[in-house]
Amino acid sequence: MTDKEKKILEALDTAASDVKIPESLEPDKMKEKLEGVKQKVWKRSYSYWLAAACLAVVIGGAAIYQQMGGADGLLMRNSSSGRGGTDEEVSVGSTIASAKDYDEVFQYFERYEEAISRSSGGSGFLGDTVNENASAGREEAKMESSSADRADTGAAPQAYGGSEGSYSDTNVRTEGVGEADIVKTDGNYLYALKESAAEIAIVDPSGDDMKKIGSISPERGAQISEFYVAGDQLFVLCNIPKTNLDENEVYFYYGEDATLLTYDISDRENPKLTAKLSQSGRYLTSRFVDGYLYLFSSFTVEGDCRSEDIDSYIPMVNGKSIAGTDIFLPPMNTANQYTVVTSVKADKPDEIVDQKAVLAENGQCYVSGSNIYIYESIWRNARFQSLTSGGTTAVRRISYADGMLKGEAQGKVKGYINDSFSIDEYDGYLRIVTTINAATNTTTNTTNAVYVLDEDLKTVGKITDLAKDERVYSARLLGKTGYFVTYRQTDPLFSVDFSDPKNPQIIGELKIPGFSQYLHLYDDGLLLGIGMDTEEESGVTNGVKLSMFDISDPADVKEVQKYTIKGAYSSDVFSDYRAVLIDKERNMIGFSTYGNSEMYYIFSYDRTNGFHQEMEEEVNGMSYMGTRGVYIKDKLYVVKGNAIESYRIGDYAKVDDILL
Amino acid sequence: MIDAKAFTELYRSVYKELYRFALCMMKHPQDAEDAVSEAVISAYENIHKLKKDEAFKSWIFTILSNVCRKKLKAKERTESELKPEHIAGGGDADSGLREDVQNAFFILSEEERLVVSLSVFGGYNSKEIGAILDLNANTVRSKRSRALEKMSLILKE
Repeated sequence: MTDKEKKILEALDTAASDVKIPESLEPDKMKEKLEGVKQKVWKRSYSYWLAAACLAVVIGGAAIYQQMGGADGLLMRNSSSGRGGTDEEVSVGSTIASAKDYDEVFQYFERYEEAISRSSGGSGFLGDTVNENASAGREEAKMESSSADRADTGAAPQAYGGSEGSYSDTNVRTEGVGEADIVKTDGNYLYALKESAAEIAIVDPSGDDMKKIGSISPERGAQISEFYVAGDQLFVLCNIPKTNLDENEVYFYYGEDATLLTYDISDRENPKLTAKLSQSGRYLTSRFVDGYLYLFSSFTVEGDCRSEDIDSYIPMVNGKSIAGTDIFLPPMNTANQYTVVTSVKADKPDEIVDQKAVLAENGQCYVSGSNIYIYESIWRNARFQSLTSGGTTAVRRISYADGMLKGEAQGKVKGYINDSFSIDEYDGYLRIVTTINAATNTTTNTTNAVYVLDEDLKTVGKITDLAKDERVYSARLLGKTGYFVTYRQTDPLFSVDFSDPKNPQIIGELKIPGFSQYLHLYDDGLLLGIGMDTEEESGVTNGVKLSMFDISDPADVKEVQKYTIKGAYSSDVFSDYRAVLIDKERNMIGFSTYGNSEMYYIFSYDRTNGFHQEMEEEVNGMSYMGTRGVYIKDKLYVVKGNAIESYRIGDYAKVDDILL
Repeated sequence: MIDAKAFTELYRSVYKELYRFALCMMKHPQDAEDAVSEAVISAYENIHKLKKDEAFKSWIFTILSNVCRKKLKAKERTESELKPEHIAGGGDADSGLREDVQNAFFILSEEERLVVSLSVFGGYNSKEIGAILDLNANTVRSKRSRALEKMSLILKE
């Protein structure tokens, strides 16, 4: 290390040593807390765990490493882009535009670089729309939009597989649109991603003893994110780091490829790799609809773009650069990231059907029955100026029938989107619930809004200035009626009537203590909420709360039943809907919570007697990945990291456990 | 058997570094406090998995790294990174760190912060960091150099 480097490390050390350590972390305080905590003792042999613990140091570390995609372009840029800037609204071009060639993409990055290297003042680049700035002297690539293939009036699309009541499937955002996960079952076997993220174990759970019968371990260095099982195929979604030798013959890392590995698992004991496809960037998410897989990755352009070296700024799919005309320019000149989308036919997994790259800053996806929506939040004046405008969300729509990807429209709304449940397509319209957080140096003015956009993604109806000083915690838009929860001290559950898209109306507002972080239509007229129970006066949390709302009259919603898990302070469900097991037919609501330890719960629901706790068992596995409950026939399997525990559905007596 | 008292003594030897490390990763005092608290409880519950006392420090740093990583990921999922209180990044974040150092440090990526924080607060050398992150020691060194170079540009201003 050079002296200069040492000095910087020392500066950080010194700066940090001035920081006051919170009282709750003082050793004596911590001791009091720990005295109430039960130490875990796994029933298996001690030495087995020792081996596992030693490995965990390296493997856990590898997993950390996997997630670092360099998606911090925003912060990087902010550090060097002091902006003057006022309160004007962000303008977003109204038409989705693809580049005409690589030159146009390169020119975009040149302007982008120039803007971020400017150290002071001016409006200029970051505020301009691409359509005004980039398309001078040429016609915009206008996309005709067809409405026929988008209306959600037809039959629901077919997801892969599909349970017939004898086993559970991953909880998904859009019914009929399959999603990958870290644990899957096909009714005969359990498939579980191990904590190392380097292996998927195949477990035969028939009979009472679980047996590991096979495993899938991709090439060295591959970090598995999640997977699908469809018949005799298993699709692995992973990141494979790219490394190379630098001039000093030292290996260096230069990003990663999101990779789809297809395995033939007709012989569960000997899975065979049959196809490999890759695309630039870190794996973001994927969907499985009507026999097609759609893969999304996030590719960040870092460092210097050179016009002669297109690899420095154009993402690749399977080793080939994406064509300029398949690249959508950003709605605003703010992105150095692409969301890369490809489609693959499941029964021809060695071929790409179609591909697009969308320049978007931290693009997020919502996939309806016929369209992909890429949305991104755009903030101005991020570092040196306070946020006065409250931010803008830009949305682009790409249709995806039978694997063919087509840019359709682009639009924007004010504010940011809480999660993909706040954006929903119905009957040709897109409905969006946002929170608008307009801050000045001394105050923050938070409001919420509902927007309805038509097929051109132009706003046709809206309700603004809702729930001042609260923000959206969860939403569920169900056909013509939508529900969303905002929170400050009590939980107003709003009902919105969308039956006239041009004139959405708030028709109900229910205030109860606490808030729901996840909403799920449990049964006709019954909306389930999972969130936190809080004291109305103090805001102190009492535990994780289940609420059942009677929505049979949307104008008069009632909380008809509730249950609080005391002492629990969080649940994976709050950040990942796939962590919940909800099955109305079997009357099961399952998820884990964190308190003194992690506990898995199964609840049943009865209209008269409310929630009934059927199971409460400690989760014994350890993993930074989430916990999943899945069932096959008469058994529930609680999977966490390398441990699976099985219980008999009914009395929920423990049957078996296995360490993978 | 390590009871609460014995565990607390092990904890006493590292808790300041744990908090500073978490603060540098999470950027906000409350988030850092939560992360340390969660990691310590998790470590205590699973203390039987610890091989010998000497390894306590690296073991609990690894657990804390994982907790921070998980929390950052959850945050990313809910897009909190894009909300004003977080987007302020270096500028308006109120970590309690000295402002110039904070500004310089918080421009780093998550990975760079991890490499630098493990150096400063974990006291690890590049080889040990490499073992935790599954990176070649040279790669760790070059990443650290790049990160420090970035910081020096800001500190100079």
